[in-house]
Amino acid sequence: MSEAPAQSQRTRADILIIDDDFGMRELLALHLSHAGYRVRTAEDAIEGGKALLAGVPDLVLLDMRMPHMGGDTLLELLRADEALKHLKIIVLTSIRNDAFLQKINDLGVSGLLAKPVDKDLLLKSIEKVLAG
Amino acid sequence: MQAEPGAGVNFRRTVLYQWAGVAVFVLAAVALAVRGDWMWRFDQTLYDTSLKLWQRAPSAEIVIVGVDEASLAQLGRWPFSRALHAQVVERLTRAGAKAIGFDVIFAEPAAPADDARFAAAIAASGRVVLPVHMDATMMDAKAREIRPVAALAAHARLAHAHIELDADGMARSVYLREGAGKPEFPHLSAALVMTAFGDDAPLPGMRRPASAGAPDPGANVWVRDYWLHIPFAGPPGHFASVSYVDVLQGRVADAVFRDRIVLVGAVAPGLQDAYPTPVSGGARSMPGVEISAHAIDAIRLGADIRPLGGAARMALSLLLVVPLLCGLLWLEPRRAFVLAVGSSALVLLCAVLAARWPGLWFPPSIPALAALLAYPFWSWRRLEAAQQFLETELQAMSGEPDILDSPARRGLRASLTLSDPMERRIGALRDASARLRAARRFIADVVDRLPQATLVADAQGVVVLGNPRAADLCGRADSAALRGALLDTLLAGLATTRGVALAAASLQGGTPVEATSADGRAWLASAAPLPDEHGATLGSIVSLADISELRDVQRKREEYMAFLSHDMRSPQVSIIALLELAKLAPERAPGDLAERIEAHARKTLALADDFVHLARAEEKDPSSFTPVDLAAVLREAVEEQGTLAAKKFITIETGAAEEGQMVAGDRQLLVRTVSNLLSNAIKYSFGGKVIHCSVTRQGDDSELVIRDEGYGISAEDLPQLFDRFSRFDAPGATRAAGSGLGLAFVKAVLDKHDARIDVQSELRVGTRFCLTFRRIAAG
Repeated sequence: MSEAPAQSQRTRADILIIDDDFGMRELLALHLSHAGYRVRTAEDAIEGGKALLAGVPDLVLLDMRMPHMGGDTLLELLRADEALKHLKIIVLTSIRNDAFLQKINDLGVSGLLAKPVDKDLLLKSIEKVLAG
Repeated sequence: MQAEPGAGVNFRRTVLYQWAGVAVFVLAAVALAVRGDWMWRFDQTLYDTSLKLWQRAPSAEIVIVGVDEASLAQLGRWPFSRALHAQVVERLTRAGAKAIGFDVIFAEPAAPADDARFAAAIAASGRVVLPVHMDATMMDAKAREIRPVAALAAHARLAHAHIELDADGMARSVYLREGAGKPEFPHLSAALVMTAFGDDAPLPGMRRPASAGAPDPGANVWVRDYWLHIPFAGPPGHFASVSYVDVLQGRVADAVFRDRIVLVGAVAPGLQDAYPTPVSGGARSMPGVEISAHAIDAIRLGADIRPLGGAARMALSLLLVVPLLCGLLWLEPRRAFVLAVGSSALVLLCAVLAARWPGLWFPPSIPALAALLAYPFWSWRRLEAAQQFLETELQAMSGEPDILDSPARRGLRASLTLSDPMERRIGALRDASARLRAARRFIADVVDRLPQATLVADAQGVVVLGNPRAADLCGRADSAALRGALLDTLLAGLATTRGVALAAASLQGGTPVEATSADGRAWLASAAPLPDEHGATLGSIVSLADISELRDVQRKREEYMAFLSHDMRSPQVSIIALLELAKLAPERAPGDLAERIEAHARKTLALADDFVHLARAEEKDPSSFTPVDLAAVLREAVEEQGTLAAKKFITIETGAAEEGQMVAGDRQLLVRTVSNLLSNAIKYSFGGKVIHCSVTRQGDDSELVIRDEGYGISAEDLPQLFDRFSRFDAPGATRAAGSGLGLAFVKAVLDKHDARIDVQSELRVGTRFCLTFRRIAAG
């Protein structure tokens, strides 16, 4: 994989990962930082909200099933916020329920990635979303 | 039951044929009767009645000099000497009479001196009319008139004084002109009018029909013209009258005769010159001279009664019957009866009135009688047709297959063997109506017992039948309350999957439509058209099947799928992520990697176990249940959870467990259920607290209560507590691992045991689960 040509652009991109699973969070962060992105992590929706207040990222990777507040609820809150309405979000989930996926889609997400996440697919999707 | 349209048409056609038969018969009978004038006598009676009704004041122009009893008594035997007549003529002429008519035949010569004197008086007067006389024996053969003796006739105007007598001997008319060969002689009355007012006075009366041919003077046939039906002015004695002898002896003032038409004739009954007339009534008759006076009055007034004869009478008679016949066909029997009687009376009344104005006589008896008789005749024919039709229909009905072998049906078969036709018909009708009622009841019963909510509507969408399930679904008190309501109104309470109100029209395609009622139940609605035997739509049947359970099963399956797709996969995903991380960046991997992986694996295992337990509980067959002691169940569960409780320094208090509270159940499932609840109580309790457990008897029931002093459950979470796969987090609690299947399992087991579970909870105070079982006798 050649990462060099877009390196400079990537360094500018700030990505926030919100996932309650430690392993998943760390693995994603590893992949993204290797790819040259600036990465922040949060272990639940509340931490995620704090991170968003600290600075709006270029992209959020959002897990759905989390304690206290599900990713879907956070997504709804973000979309209701005037400032964060157009924030780019990629949803990470292993839920296959059609109705649930439809609901997520309707809230306006940039992409959907199934767990476990394939590294190449992850990077390609992020690139595409950031370019679009 | 709907009448067959085909049968209705048949019946109408039969009735129409019967009516046509009756119409032809009645019209033919009327035609025959008119032609034969069968009701002549009755018509004449009516005619006479009419004349009696319309009387008028006597004309002042006419005076009768009557040869009465007094004259005969004083002057001797009739005929009087013509010298006396001469004196009367002289006196009347002197008094200024306008015309003097003698209703006396002077065919034979009398004493020459008398004849001469009379002739002189006539000549001197110049206003005297004398009658000629037809030889009655020669009528219509070699007719000839017998004139007054030549000397008298020489200066007098000649007239005839014949009075026409009808077949019943009644005098109703005169011919104003008669004569042998040609009608040269006016009637006495006409002659007097001519003498008084000139020859050109117009004559009323029916003219001689042109078909009779021109009069042939040489034929010597008696010819008559100007047939006047006298509209009598009043009864006998109506006109001014004086006695012959009083005139002769100068006891009557001249003024009585001045400018009058004077008629001289016999009025004494003994003289035999009198006729029965319509107005004379009873045994009285009217002297000929008086009839002439009535005729004069009629001529002066131009009054006449023209009888409608021949074709005109026939046409009118038939024409009057036609609307009545039409009325019989179209009107219901009661109205038809009123029409028949009413039109009969009306025809009679109109005929009587028409005789007066416009002076037209139409014999009304035949059409009036036809109107009266047509009604019963038609009623009979119609009844016959109806009965025949009924019998055919009932027999056809008895031949139809019957799903109800009811007593009514057996009765129908029995009644068809009765001998009397009327009795048989009535019996068959009664049985048929009983059968109809039974069939209706049967249909209503069938609809009532249908497992689906069912509505039967007519073509306009108005409900005619519905069952209690439909009433319940549509929020009506009972199935009777559905009747008359619009289908769409009733269905509006249901929402389709697209969120709009369900409408009958959306069911017409034949495809079932899914809908949800306000109480959340799911329904499959479908409609089937109700065609008659010709394929026309009479209405439709709408059926609504409750598919809530089906939907529940579907939902459960989806939940399982979601569970498998997410909850079971989730720990595996975490393990893979950890392993990958350790592989790629060992320095970033957590130190307790093995423990973490183990925790995820155990979680998967626990999930799989719970899932299997839940599935087993849901499949458990209650027939395999055995008596179980609740206190023993509690003990066992407490033992299972003892270690876990000890770890958190939690005490489980079971002091209040009554032995011998037996319930029917599966011991293992129940222990696991209580164990689950205890496990939850421990998980969601702070360390060092107490969990209170009890088993008590409550009437026929036994209660098992588990009360903790834990975090409690918020009021908003309580309703979803037993939902599958629901897992929530108690505020302030450390995150407890759980599949979310624990309470779903509890609920499934208790449902299988027909037991109830009640939960009371308060945040930071604790939660109380109360399980209520139906107790069985210990044994």
